Amino acid sequence: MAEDVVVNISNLTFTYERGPLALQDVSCEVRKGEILGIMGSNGAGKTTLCFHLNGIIPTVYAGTEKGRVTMCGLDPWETPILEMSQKACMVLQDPETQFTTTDVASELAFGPANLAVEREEIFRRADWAAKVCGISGLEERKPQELSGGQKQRVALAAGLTMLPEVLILDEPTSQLDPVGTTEVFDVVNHLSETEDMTILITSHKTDEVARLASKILVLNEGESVAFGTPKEVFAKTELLASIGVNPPSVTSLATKIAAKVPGFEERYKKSGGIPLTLDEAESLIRQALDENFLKIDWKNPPLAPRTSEEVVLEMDNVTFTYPARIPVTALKDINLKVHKGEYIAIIGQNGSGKTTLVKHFLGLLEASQGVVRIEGEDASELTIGSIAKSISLILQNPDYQLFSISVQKELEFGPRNLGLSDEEIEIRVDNAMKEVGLEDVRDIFPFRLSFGDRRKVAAAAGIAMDPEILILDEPTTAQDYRGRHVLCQIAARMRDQGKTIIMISHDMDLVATYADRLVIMSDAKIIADGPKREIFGMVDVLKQADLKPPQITQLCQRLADYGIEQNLVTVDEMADIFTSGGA
Amino acid sequence: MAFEYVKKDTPLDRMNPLVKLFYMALALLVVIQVWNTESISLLIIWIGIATVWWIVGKVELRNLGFLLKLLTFLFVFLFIVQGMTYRFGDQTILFKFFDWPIIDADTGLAVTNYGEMTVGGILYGLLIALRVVSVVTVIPIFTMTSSIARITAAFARIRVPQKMAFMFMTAFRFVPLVQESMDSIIEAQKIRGFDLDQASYFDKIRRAYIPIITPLLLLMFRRAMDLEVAINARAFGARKDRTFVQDISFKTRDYLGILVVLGSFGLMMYLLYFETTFITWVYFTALVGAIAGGIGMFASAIGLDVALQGLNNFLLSLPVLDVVGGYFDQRALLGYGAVFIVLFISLIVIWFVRRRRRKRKRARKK
Repeated sequence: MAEDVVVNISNLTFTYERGPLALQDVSCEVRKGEILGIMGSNGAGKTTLCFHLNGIIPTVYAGTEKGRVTMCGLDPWETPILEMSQKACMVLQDPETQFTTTDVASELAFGPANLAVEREEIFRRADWAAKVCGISGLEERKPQELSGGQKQRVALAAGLTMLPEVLILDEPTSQLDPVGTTEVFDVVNHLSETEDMTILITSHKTDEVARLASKILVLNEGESVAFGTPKEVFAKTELLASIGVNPPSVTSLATKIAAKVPGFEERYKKSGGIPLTLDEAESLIRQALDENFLKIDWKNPPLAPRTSEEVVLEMDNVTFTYPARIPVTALKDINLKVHKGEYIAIIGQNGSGKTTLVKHFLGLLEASQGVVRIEGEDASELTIGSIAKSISLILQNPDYQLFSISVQKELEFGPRNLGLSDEEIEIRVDNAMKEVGLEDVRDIFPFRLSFGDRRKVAAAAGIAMDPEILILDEPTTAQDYRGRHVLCQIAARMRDQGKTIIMISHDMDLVATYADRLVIMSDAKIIADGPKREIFGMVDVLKQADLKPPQITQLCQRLADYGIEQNLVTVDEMADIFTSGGA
Repeated sequence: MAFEYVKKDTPLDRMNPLVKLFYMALALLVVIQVWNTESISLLIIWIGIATVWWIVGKVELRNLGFLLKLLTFLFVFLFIVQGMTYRFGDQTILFKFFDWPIIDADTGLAVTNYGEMTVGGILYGLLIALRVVSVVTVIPIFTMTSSIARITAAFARIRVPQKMAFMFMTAFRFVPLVQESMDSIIEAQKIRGFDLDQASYFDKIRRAYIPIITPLLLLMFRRAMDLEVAINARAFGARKDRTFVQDISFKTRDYLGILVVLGSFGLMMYLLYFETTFITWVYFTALVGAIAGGIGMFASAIGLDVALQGLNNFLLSLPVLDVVGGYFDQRALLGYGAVFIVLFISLIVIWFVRRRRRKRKRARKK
């Protein structure tokens, strides 16, 4: 074994106590200074693998293990967690729960203090860690005064004060907005470059991982299905698609073109492998177009479906201020009309007022000024119960609403509140279950389901209310590629039945694929509202809201001089316009 | 959160939490010893001292708004119950609500009437209320001026086990989390047509809290699991001799603080056991008398008492009010019994109307 191998996993098989087989015959090797990206759908065993490396398994979670794990020359099953914890620092998914103390300064000191490190040394380390993670000056803040991205960086810094050799990040950005995500990835990048840290990261954000990682391990149902450099791994597009891992859009585009145009694959293989980043894709396609290997055969993308003129939701000069010691204005002069049958996405940073806006439609908040109308009726005069009959919201976190003993009972709760007859309830619950695909777990206690499935139960509970207007709040949170599409597809099907859909999201690819109309919010105001292709063209407006158009649209914009007339938004649309150039 | 620490640059902020903890302990000790109405003025002095601490520590009263509301409710309850049942001290009857005589089986005579509210009873209610206030006013001096990190460090110093100190800290860490989750859960269930505000009280108790408490418990359980992972990953409990980053050594101001605390406690004890005649409730009544006299003089100067007396006589001549007003001892209320009962009744009416008016929303037409 080479000297610089930091993590060595060979033939690891693990079964949780009273639980399923979580890992099966997984092997991989990480050298010092490398970044390993671990990918896979929810439930593929990513977290279990991470827990093996810092001794959480077997200390906190028990189970049976076969195979060998060596971590900085130590075996986690033989070494006490106290020692392991000094080798590996771990950042978890949920920014809320990792805070063990009540302010940032004591959080940074918590680890080394437990190890009885000298006081002066603790201060030195805390200073250094805060500087590296860019949180200097926040030392006296409390967790509730930090943004999600700041919390995750505090968690990272708190781990760094223990001077670990390996950094383990378990979906550190899945609950963050684009700015928070960039903040965290920037720190990771910095650490690997300047501190020569070995980093293991699990994430669904493929383009970020593709950019950073030196090696990628793909897991599926506990088995390792691919291991290698990003170029090697992402070239296996079909395999990845079958297990629910989505390669970067430009990579998918390259494989799609390769399937249409013979010889394209050989071209990029010769010039350094499949493109992973926007720059690589741009130069590859530019070259191919210049050499007449590819030709653009412009086809107008499908038009957005026509919507009726009937206004179902309306906001007329709405301003809303949260009453607090220092009042916060969350909405300023909002004017918005939602027509029947529209699929609208509201996009913008955390804290820009998106959720506050939809809460007005549900009657949870009342406008401080202005009027909110639901099908012409003033929302402030309506009871929440009667609004719930026609408008339903699917929450980010299903754990806020699930309480029943079985999935069936859970779905019945909403319709029962509406005072429907038993037969009607039964029909609705059956339909909702079929729609979401929960028939198999009908009698299971929701708490026992995986997060992805709990989210589906929550969605089904919303659908069982049979709403005219469905609101999705961030369908991407803690969801893998497949999960987020399942929710959006359900919504799209409902739209086809004439319902109105409003979606709040950070995920530009998702928004681009499903929504027709985009509303951009920034700083409590609507700064743009219109059809998606137009909106993605407004580069300045998007920048003002700290958003970026989807990768494909960016590529479109860079290649506009080759005769691309409109902003294309999905991989399929883009692949469609390229044909063989004959050369 | 009512008792949350907010950083302020005051001497109290810098003071060792142990001093403030000691102060709290002594407050309890004082309150335990003061139990008769004669010593009411003692408690007033004690509360006065606490107020000085509040001012020095810049503790904001309005942060306690919720608590004060809760206490007001408790006090009203105390006055009524004690006023009608406590049968020592001054037996002057203030009002007679109804007749509930307790008859001695041997003599066949009424011993007491629980429908009557006596001055002694109300004073006893006041005593209990002041005892509660004496302790409650001291708590924020501890919690609102010491950061949790310092409190935990102080605990460690008095040899509270590491795990206990951490549990204490986690409890504080989880309070805002629970609050936030609770709000989110209530909203989530409202969206599903489950509206607590519209439900009757009976409904609320019978079934309403299950959809809210169950997810809350499950959520907190999950969070606790995550926290366990987080603290294990950071070597919690690795060493018995954990380092404490917070500097909580005793400084001059801490010794001064202890001196002040002990001094005020000593004063209380001296007044309570050696100067009993000095601090009888005569002083308290003198104070009340002075205030009442002042108001009375002012009222007669502008002719208010004559007007009020006239109003009272007029109210007593009305058909229903004369019966209701008759239950009040006109003498004890300085002859304003009828005015008093009218105010009392209208207060209750206003209270009910306001409660009713707050939520009256309609269902949708379609």
